[in-house]
Amino acid sequence: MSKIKDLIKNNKLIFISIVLYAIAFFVKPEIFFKGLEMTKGFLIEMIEVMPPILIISSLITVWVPSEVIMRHFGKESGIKGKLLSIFTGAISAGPIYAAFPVAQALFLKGASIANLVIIISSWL
Amino acid sequence: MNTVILIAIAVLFLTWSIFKSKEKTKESLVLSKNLLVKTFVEIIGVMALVGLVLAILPPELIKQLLGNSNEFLSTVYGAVIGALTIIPAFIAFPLSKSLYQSGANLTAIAAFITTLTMVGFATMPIEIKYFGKKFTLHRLWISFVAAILIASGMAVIL
Repeated sequence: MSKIKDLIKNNKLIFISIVLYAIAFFVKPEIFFKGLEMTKGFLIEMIEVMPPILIISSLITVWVPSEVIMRHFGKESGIKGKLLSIFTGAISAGPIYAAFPVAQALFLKGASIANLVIIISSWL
Repeated sequence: MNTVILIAIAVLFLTWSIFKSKEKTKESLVLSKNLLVKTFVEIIGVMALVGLVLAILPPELIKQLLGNSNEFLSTVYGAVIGALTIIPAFIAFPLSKSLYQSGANLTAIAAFITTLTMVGFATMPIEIKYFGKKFTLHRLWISFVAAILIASGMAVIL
């Protein structure tokens, strides 16, 4: 019993949406189908963008030494670090949640908070 | 287009990595797989909810709000709608274009696009998981203020 509780607690949003979709299905089926259509669009976008993003950020984690990230994205990187962060965010594609793993990989290797925010905010 | 560049970079980097060390490549692929599963579980609920909201709120309503004759109000509406939703690029840009053609204020559209990119209340739970509450909340409110400033700047220039 407590296992089911944990499952629901850890996947709150998924359960809420299942309930809401079920209600929509019975009350207004066209909203249910339109919602599914939207979700499908999001999923396709995610499937296109996430694998390359995640592969790149894992390769950064494994290969690039901390000193290099610190030098280019760290506290002492100055204006060059800022420009590099804008560039990194701007050439990347995809929704904002794709930025989180990349930014986290860079942060764990010593990127500064300021540059972290720049990367996430310039992500388009 | 950006997606193509991204995939190209990933493939190049991956090929180089395989060439250099099979071990490390394997390690990073396992890492990406775990990240993919983690992100997927986190994001699917958010996507389904936003999909439902977008299905209930038709684009016409957004159009009406952004086309409000009061420029200040429509800018605030634009900023708030952009901040609350994640509208993928394949909907957002055509939508902005038709908003502009049907007479929405440019300032409002600027605010809408800016908060759409920089502020994500819908993805807040995910951002908190990655970077913590303090970081996320401060980043969001500062970004929201910045978006309003950018939109006001656009109003002066245009």
